[in-house]
Amino acid sequence: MKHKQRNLIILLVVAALLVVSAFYIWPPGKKTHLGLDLQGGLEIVYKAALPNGQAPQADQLDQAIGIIDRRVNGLGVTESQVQRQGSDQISISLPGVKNKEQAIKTVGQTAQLQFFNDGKQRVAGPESSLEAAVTQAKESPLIPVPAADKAEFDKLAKGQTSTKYLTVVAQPGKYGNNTAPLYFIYKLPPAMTGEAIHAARQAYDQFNRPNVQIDFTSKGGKQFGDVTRQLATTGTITGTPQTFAIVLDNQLESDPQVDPKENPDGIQGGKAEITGSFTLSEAKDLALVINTGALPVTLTRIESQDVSATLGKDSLHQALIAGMIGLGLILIYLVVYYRFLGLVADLALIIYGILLWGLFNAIPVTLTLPGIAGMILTIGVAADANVVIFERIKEEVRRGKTVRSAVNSGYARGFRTILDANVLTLLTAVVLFEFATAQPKGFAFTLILGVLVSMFTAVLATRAMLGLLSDFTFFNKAEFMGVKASQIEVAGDEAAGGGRRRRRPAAASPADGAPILSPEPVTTADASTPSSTRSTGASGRSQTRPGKRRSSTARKKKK
Amino acid sequence: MNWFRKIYSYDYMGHKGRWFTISGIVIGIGLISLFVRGGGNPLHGLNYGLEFKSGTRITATFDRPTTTGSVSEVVSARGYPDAVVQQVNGTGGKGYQISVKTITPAQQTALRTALDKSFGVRDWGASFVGATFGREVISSSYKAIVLALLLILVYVSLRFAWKFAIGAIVAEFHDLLVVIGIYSLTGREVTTGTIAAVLTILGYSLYDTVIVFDRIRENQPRMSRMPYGDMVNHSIWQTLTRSINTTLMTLIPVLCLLFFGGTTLKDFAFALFLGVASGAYSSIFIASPVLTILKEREPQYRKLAARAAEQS
Repeated sequence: MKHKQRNLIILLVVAALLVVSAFYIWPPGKKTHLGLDLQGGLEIVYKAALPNGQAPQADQLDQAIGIIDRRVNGLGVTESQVQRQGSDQISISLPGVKNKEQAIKTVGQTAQLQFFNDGKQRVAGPESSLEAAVTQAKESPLIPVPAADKAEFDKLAKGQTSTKYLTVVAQPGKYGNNTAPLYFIYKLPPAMTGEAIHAARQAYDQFNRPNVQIDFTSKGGKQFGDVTRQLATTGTITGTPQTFAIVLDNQLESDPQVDPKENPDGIQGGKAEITGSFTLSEAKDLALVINTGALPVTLTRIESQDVSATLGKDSLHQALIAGMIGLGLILIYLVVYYRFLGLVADLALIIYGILLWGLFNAIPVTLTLPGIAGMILTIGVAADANVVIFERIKEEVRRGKTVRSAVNSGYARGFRTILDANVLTLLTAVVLFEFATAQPKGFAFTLILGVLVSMFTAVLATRAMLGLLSDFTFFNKAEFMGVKASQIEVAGDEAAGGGRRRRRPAAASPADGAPILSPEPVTTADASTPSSTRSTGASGRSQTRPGKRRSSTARKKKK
Repeated sequence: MNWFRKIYSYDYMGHKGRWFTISGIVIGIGLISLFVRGGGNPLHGLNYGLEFKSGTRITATFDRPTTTGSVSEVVSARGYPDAVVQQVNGTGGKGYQISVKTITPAQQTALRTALDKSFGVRDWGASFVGATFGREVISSSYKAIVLALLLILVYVSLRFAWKFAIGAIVAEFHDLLVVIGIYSLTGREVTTGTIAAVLTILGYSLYDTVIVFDRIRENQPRMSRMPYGDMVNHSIWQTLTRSINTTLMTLIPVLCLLFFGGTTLKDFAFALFLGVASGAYSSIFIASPVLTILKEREPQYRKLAARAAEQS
């Protein structure tokens, strides 16, 4: 049996997905990413502007977002998010962040990217400690320094900042293959700053090794050309290639050398490549760092939300309780109303819940309060699909179809309705997602996922279940579909007529007294009633209309 | 349960005037409220929440039991007489929401210290919104609503026919106006959550409309000898059970959110509840009658209707 095979395959897929979901869900509570409204935390929205007060360009904003993202990552907040909002806003969410003051400070500060000419500006280093570097600077500096500057070095030794010199630290792996931090002292001002850089990216050199390519601004390109020309000239004279230091916020990020043979005239043209024994991720990191330094905008805080952890927990509990009660009531209602079909729908709803939860954890979606609202609403949407299909099946069974063919046509016809209705819900959810700011966005996203998953569980999965079941004889009874034998239209029903009342007159039919025309073209001979009314309609339509009118007015008087 | 049977044979299209009037009255009251509350400008007739204005909102719970009044006293003694203090419920006891104009972090700390002295602050959270933020939220919401309506118009036109789309859109406007009107009347706070809910309603309230329209589309060729209004009545009767049940299936979780959810969820749920209920109503009492009116202007249906009138 082809159908049987297909149904079995669908159910196997469902079972497999359930196992995968269970893997993503278990242990519960650990793997679900909670938004800051549920676990407490800090959300800040900044308005970005150029130093001259003008609105930033899209790429400048994106650059700033990348930079802030990197800083935020440094805070160790696991689920931080930095997003663009509108044309000039940046929203930062830091769920579960402990030190909020520190966080605000870190995000808002302006990082400095600086370039130093090692041969001309390095005063001391590499040394294994700050003290050693200061001693070297005072006693045997690498470049000549005024004797009066010794006080400045003492400042550095105490961890204070100086306007003339800068302490730079190379973390392990940043300077050659150092295993411990190394300390340097550089003379200010730097040869170049981050402003000179347009963009940096990870790329590959001719030997397919990861490298970093830098594009300078037109002014920056000239500066860089000058610096590297000096380095190349010194390199040619001394016979040792000279290096320059890339420093971000006092951290040495790279110390590349300029090959005097390759670039005897320095590196001109506004572009540069840093090659070395980079791994792919090292090259990516360095590119990021170089981009990071040039924070092109100033930030003003325009919105912030600070949610305490207990408040978040409260909200989560309330939402879960509301969701559980809602789901429970729907499960009960479906069984009471649709009996066996309801059980199948319940099973599908539970599967839906598990799959959606698993999907959320797998993507992973950060669950927010509005997101939970969206999820709870989609429980209703998922149940709706089953209601539409089951009503259709009952309708078909009442018309005298066998359960198996009723199931088939119920799905075929019901699906069209569900598709149209769900597409409309999806359309607005997508619009909402596109336009909305942070909170409603979460709602829209869960709604979109929920509607899609529900199409799978409520339509495909229940169909497979019912399809398999309808092969059994015990299942092939109208009662199983919640249709009483008395409700089935068979020949002679009309004659028995008005005496029989239905428990629930769902579909219009002759026995109901009201409509005479059959809504369905029934093709088989087993339902003589509709076909006979159809012939009435065809031969004497003049009788049809008043007949209908009469009966409906008569009914109204009765009640 | 007589009325319950009656709704399966009620002449919905025959009484459309009555239902239009009821909707008209509800919407009319809402519009009046918008104008009155807005001081002539209906756009100002809603109680916009913090997201749309500038200000600081503090949510706090206290160790010692207290009342809205006493919290308000302390707050206004600190120099914020305009502060609005509301009680919110949490599982960890009563919480209070204090809305004030924009205050600096330092002022916030001072306020916290004052409240701590009086009631013992257990829990403290603060939101701050600048003035530009709200304006942007509002303008993007309008854009979203217009775009959503356009998409709906196009989709329904493609899948059904443009007359169906007009019916659906009129029903959408009905739902929107009902929800906005009730928000204005009740003075309930409009938050970003409300806007999200309203947009969701735009899509979801068509669920029932699609159910009925789908059946009308199916019945149209089959009952081609019947006046259009009668055919629509049949379609409504045939699909009434599923319309009721789908509405219930959605209202159940929405009501649970409304009763058991926290403040934010209640916001969502209230708007969703209004929208779902209004959407179910409008599918039968607005969308279908509008479609019928449009269709009955077509010559073939005009003839059928005339013949039916003759015979009765």
